[in-house]
This record gives sequence, C-alpha cells and structure tokens, in this order.
Amino acid sequence: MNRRNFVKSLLGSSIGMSSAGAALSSMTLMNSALAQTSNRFNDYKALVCVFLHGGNDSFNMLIPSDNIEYQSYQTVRQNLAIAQSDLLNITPSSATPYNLALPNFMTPMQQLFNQGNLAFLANTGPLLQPVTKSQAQQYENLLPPQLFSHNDQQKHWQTSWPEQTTLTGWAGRMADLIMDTQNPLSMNLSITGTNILQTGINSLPYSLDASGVETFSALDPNKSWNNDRINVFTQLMAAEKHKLGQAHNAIYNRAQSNIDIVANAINSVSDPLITYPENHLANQLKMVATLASSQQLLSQPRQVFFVSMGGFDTHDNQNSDQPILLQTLSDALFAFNADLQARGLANNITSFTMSDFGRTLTSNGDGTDHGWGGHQIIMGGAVKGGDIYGTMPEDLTLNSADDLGDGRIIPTTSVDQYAATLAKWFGLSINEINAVFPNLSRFNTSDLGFMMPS
Amino acid sequence: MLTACGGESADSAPTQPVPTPEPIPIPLPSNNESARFLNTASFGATLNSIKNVSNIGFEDWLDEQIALPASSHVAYLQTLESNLNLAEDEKLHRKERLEAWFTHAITAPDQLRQRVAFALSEIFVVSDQSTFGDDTYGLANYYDLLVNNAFGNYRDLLEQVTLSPIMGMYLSVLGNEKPNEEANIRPDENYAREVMQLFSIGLVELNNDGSEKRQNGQSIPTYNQETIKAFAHVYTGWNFNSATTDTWWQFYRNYNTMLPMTAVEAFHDTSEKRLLNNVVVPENQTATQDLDIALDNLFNHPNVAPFIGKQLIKKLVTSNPSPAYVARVSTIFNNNGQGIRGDLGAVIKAILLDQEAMDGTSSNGNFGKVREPILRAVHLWRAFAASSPNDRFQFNWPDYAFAQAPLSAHHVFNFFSPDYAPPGIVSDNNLIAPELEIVTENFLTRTSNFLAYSTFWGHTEYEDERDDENRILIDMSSLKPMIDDTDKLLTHLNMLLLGGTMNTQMQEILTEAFNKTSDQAVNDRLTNLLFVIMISPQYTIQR
Repeated sequence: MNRRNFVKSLLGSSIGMSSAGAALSSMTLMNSALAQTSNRFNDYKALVCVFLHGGNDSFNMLIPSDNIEYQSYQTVRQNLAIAQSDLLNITPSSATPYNLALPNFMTPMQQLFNQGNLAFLANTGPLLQPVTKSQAQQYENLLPPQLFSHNDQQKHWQTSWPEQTTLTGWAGRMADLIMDTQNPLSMNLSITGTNILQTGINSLPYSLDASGVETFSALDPNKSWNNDRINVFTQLMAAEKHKLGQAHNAIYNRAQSNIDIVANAINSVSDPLITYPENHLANQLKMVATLASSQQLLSQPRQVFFVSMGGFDTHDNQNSDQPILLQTLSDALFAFNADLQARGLANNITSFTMSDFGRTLTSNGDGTDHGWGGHQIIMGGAVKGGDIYGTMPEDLTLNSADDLGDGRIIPTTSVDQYAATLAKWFGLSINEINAVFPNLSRFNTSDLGFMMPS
Repeated sequence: MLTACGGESADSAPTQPVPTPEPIPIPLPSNNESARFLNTASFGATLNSIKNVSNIGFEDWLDEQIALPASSHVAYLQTLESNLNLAEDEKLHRKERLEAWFTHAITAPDQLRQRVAFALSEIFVVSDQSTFGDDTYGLANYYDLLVNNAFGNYRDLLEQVTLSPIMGMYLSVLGNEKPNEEANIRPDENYAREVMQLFSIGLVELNNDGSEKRQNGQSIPTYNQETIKAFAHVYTGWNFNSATTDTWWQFYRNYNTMLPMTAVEAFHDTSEKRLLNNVVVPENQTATQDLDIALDNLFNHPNVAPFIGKQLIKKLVTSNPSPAYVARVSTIFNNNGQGIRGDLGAVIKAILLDQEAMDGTSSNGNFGKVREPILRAVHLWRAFAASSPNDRFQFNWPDYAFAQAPLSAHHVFNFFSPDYAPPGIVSDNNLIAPELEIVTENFLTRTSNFLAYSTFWGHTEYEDERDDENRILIDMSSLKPMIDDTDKLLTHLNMLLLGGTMNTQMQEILTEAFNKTSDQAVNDRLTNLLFVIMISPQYTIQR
C-alpha cells in the first residue's frame, strides 16, 4: 500500500462509520492537512511519552490501603505484596471505591500528586471495544490481537489502531495532520530510537539520543575539505536504484538536513539549574527539556518526545527489582518536572507513561506474568493533578468480575481514550481526533477529563 | 540394491542396476562470484577466501567449512586469561568477551559456522543487559552453544538453549516451580511464551513458503493462553546443574553457567498438560520426560521450517525472499533428503546455494539486505588484513557506533525485528528492511564516522595512532601497486568489497573522482576511496 492509498484508507475509515456529512468533513480535513503552516499555533505545547518497556506491575503502584481491601490485595499478591506499613497515603479529589496509597519508593510521586502536578489513570489498556468478563471469555475476537504478547501490545499502545495494515502510530498520524510541512525537522523527536508511536504516513520521527546529536566527521559539509568527498557520495546516492538503498539515503538526508539546526539549538540552551539523578531515563528527559527550551529556534510550536525505560518485565526478582525501577522512574520524573518549572515550561509540557500491559496479580514465585490493564502516570502543569481518573477495579480478589484469570485485569479504559484526551489538549480538532483514533467512537467518552481546558 | 532378507520386495520385478549418471560438471565460480557468495557465507570476503572458493567451488567450500572444528569463545578467553596473569581479584569482563567475538569474526577459519552462530544469536536472544551481564564465561559459553550447534539438528539446539542456565536466567526457566494454589503461585510463563513466539513457531500458522495461513480472511493463532500455561507447567523443576531439593533456593551456592541445568523433581509439576495440536503430556512424569515431549511438540510443528528458515535467509542473504525460495528451504528443513528433519547444516547449504541467492539479479531488483552495521566494520577489517600493535582485536564500544553488540540486545526481541519495514519506499512497496530499525539518523551518522575513523585514521601507516596499542588497523599495501591503474584498482575493490556488483555508473563516478586526486598522497587517495565505497548505498545494501 502506498502513502496516497493509505491517506484514503485513513479517511475511509470515518466514511464507513457515519454519514456523507462526515465524509465531507473528512475531505475538508485532508485538504486542511495538506496546507498546514507554522502559523496554526500561537502557543507552545509538548507531549512526552515515557514508555515503560516490559509491562509495569502497576498493581503494586496504586495499592488499597484500608484494612479490608489491603487484605484482599495481600491475599492475592502474597509474597509480592508491598507491606502495609510501607504505604504512602494519597487523597484523590474524586471518590475512589477504596482508599489508595503509593509504595514508599515513590515518595516524589506522592509529593507531585499532593501538589496537583500529577494524576493517575486507572486500569487502562488495549481494547477493541468495551468488554465484560463473560464477553471476553466467550468471544476471542473481542480481544485485542495477540493479547499478552510484548511487541504486539506495545504496538497497540503506540498505534491505537490494531486493525491497520500499514503501521503508523498515533503521534505520527497527529503529525501528518498538524505539523508544519515547511519545516525539515519532524515534530516527533525520539530520544530512544525507532518507534511506531511517532511514525506517520508522511512524517517520521527524528532520532537523536540523550547525549544530543552526532555530527558528521568526514561528511561534515561545514568543512570545505570535505566538499569533494560529499560530492562523490551524493552522486553515488543519486545513482542508487535499489529501494533499500534509497531508504538508507533518505535517513542520511534527514540526518544531514537537521544536524546543524538541532546541534545549534541544543548548544543555545543553558544548563539546568536543578540536578538530575544519574540514570538513563533522567538523561533522556534532560535532553527533552533542552529541546523544549529551544523550540523557538527549532520553529516548533508543537513537539512530541519519546523516551523509554526498560526492565519492567519482572518475571523474576520482582521484590528486589521493582522498587529500584519505580524509584528510578519517580526520581527522573521529579527532576524533569522541577527543571521544567525552573524553565517556565511546566504548563506547556505534559508527560505520560505507557507500558505493554499490567501484570498478573498472582505470583510465579518471585515475579509476575503478562497481564492486561494497568495504571498510568500523567504529569505536568496542565494536568488536573491530585486525582485518579478512569475506574479502579472494584476489588482485587481472584476471579472477580474484573479478573480474566490469574489476576489479569480487564481494562475499563482504552488506550484510544487516553491518547485522545492528550490529543485534544495538544490542539487537535474533534474531526482530527476521530481521524487519528478510528476506534474511538466505540467508547463512551473521548475526553477522560484529566487535562485542563486549553 | 539387492534385497537380501524378509522377502519384502517379492512383488517387485528384478531390477537392473541403474548406471550412475555422469556428473554434470559445475563450472567453478569467478572471483567476483566467489566474493559475492562469501559475503553471505562468512563475515566478508578476503583475498584468500575468494581464491579458495574459486578453486573448489561453492558446495565443496561449504562442506569443508561444515567439517571444520568449531572455534571456541570460551577457549579464547581461557587462553587470554592465562596470558594476562590477572591478579587474584581481577577477572575478565565484557570487553574481553567482545574481543573474543571480534577475533573470531575477523580471523576464525570456521567462518561459516561463526557467521551462522551470529545469526542464531539474533534469534535465540540472550543479553548481557541483564543481571548476569558480567558473567563473561557464562555468556561466551552460551555463544559456544550456538557455534557448536550451527550445523547440528535444530531439535538439539532447541534443547540445549532451553537447558542453558544463561537462557534459564534470561527467560526464567531457572528456578521455575510447580504451582502452589494456596500461595497463588503459578508457573512462570516467560519462556513458555517466548520460545514459541520467537524461537520456534511464531504467532500465526504459516504455509511452507512463509506466508500466513488464512481462515475467513484472518490469520490463525498458533497458540493461546491455555497453551502457554501448559508449557509453563512443563518447564518447572529446573535449576543450576547439580542443585538439589535442599539447595533449590541457594542461588549463589548453585550458580554454574558452564553446565546445563538439571532437574529437581520436587519442584516439577507432574499434572497432565495439553500442548499444541492436542499432544498430551501424561501425568506423573519426570521433568526430563515432560521436556522431551514438549520440545518434540514444538519441533514437529509445521511452522518451524518456514519460521526459522525464513529468518536465516533474511539474516544471511536477502530481506525479501520469494515464497518459492522459502518453500525450498522449508522442504530441506523438513527432510534433508535422508529423512532427517531439522538438519541445520543442510538448511544453511540450501539457503546459500539456492538459485535465488546465486542469481541475485532476479526478484524485481529487490534482492539483498541492509548489512548489519557491526558487520560493515568487520568486513573492512577482514578485507584489509587487520592487525593491531598488540595483536589483539579490542573494540569495546560497538553499541555506541552501531546500536548493536554481540549478545547485548535490550530485550529478547533483538536489536531489530525480523519484520521491520521502515515507512516510505520500503513499506510502500510491501518490502521489509529489518536492519534499518537500528539505522536512525544518529546511528547512521555514528557508523559513518566510525568508518571514517577506521579508514582515514585507522591504517597501519597512520603514525599518530600507532601509539594506541589496541587500535585495529587496516593494511592497504595490497592496493598500492594498483595506484596508477584506476581501472584495475576499482575492479579489485569491486570484487573484494562488492562481490562484482558495482555497476558502470558507480564505476564512472569513482573513476572520475579518483583520477582527480592524482596529486594527493597515496594513503589519502586510498583511504578516501575506501571510505566512500564503505558508506555508499551500493555497499551498504548487500546484493
């Protein structure tokens, strides 16, 4: 399928859903998408996706704290339960079915939650449509494809469109619609390599790493002695007929046309006033803060960043590994938030976690297996913090109405709703949101309410 | 053949001995053909290996390679350790394991075996990015397992991988215990899932030619959660070699990554288990009996041939093989001609000698693959007789330059997915280019810079760098006699680096460019030419 056909199919999906009126507005949408310029936005906003690779066991992140519910939690989790004496209470503004707490290795998250800079979204996951336990047990075709498989579920989180034949991510499709086509630098910036989330039909992420952008040595066009060499290389690229070679050329061209502008922008930014902890996620977030601070130089009124952290696939040694993982995550996010506040960008940037899946409530002895729904973190000045959104599972006992089996909790909120809420804050119109999230209409609300009105 | 006993052929007419047909003489390959073949069958052509293949032909060379004894990475480390006279509290680390790998890739005589082992290491993934990351010998021992089984039977490979303590730690078979309902403990599903998804049958049912089977337009899952649970119960009761019921929990006491795991029956689940295709593991069996049935169950699944065969084709020859090519390789996997299933040596021969591999110009101009970044450097070093002042091949930061290093992926899904299709011209044409998943803007730049570093500043006559005793340096002396004959020089480099695939247009561009540099120093002219070829798309895509 080529790109043009793909655009048609993207629009076709909304034609299939409703009337000719929607088709008309879809066509308008396409036309407006092709005519984007930088003056669409007069403010600055960025989204930061923090992907927790492996499947975060978030049922050890939001924990029932009252005696009765803690007891059910303790019964199901056994040796993996966080001790009741190690819980940090939080008080969400909205009612929850039972009181909740964080584990003591997430103190910075408690602080941000209490300050109103952080919220949680409960029991969210890949869904084709809302599904009850009996439906899920009866009809396999109501379950997302390859449920419980790492890469397939990561794909679902990042595409929000499991049925599509060509892989594009929802941030990539957002960029297709709203990004300034005159700017050679992608709105989507990855600090952690290739990913589906930021891949669109016409737009690809630009990839650098936590240390910044690598500049060419022998192919540096700013050094006159490289001119002949670059000239030969350019001729060889032009002579290349092989499609894989042309794809390689395209990556070179993207690198060459963006390196200087990105390197200069990075160099223009002053060092942070706060100290980041020494870990890979913190390093990535520090680079995000740098690129966000130079968004004017980069002519980017909108940016989407992708950062990641691995190690969450805690089949083993969960009791020793998970505290380190969540502590690392908390410290990195806390420092990032402080840096953004110091730079006056806290209200412009919303960070959010995604992760393959939640994990089984049951134990395999010293760890957990692949589950389904899980809780996510949303952080930033524009977040209606200090609250828990979505729906907490009624109770965590085995074989409850939320448990598909072995404590694999059926999500009550979909990835589509989560992402669409972020997209709305980001500035997409309702039509655009429906085009980016073709399955969104299957769910009861497209705005989960955790963002302040723009 | 005469039947001597049993009278089984009583019905058949007496047969005349069939005269053996005269073998059809197969012409020996040209040097270009040999070089091109060696780029799929080794870590890159060298002058010697080209000569060798051209003298004896592809098939004899393959047979010779298959018969060579395996070079061991563990043995390399042991020799190194004794030569280094390490102090009591010192030990070998990752950098020495990488040294063992580079040394084998650049110089080992059993090139085919080492190259196939590298491909296997990207399918049967374990990684030093984990708790046992500094277990240098344990990781090298796992790599040797792949080296030793590269031409063996897939069933043996699967069993040795399954019982490897390194794999046991990586995907949680080690220490996996039978269920304990009271404590809500269920067997760990990690290996049960990944061995099916990644090491044997894949997610959906396949035809022999690698295409997906369809039912009502939908692909057909090979297994479901219940299958995974059943296998998870099978893989219980394994621990480090010689662990016992009493020592089961004593991780450090039992720790041994040089010997396969052994079973501790007290921790093995003995219930009945229902596996793939309704194969039933009866109750009350030992861990080993259960494992035999389970691995046979995987091994005999019709998906294995196209799933593993196609991945090996992609790793060695071409990213987008025709279905017919995959089917021919699957057929050999299913039966090597002597009734044996899973003969990897026969599979490798079938892959490398296939008409599609030989005749790369077919397949709509899409034949070939992106060279793995780390293999571009290795080929450069092989092609130009690399050496180093201290006679060791020490290069400690391949991940920085190439986004990959042996046994160092970030997860069991490898550095790049076997199905990755970058958007744009590749996916628009329904093609894939797996290796491009790690060729981001940043890493393309770094790889290009590394090749600059390894040519301009990485040859034996670059004086300032000679002080650095562990630099890997190329030797361009074989090129110097051709310096005044551009045609001859380019013909030579075309053979050595591109296996003769350089087209006229590329030759003209390079000729013009090279002739313009006649006033420059010889080393500068040569390194510049090498660099430009090494970063060219024509070289980057092995074809």
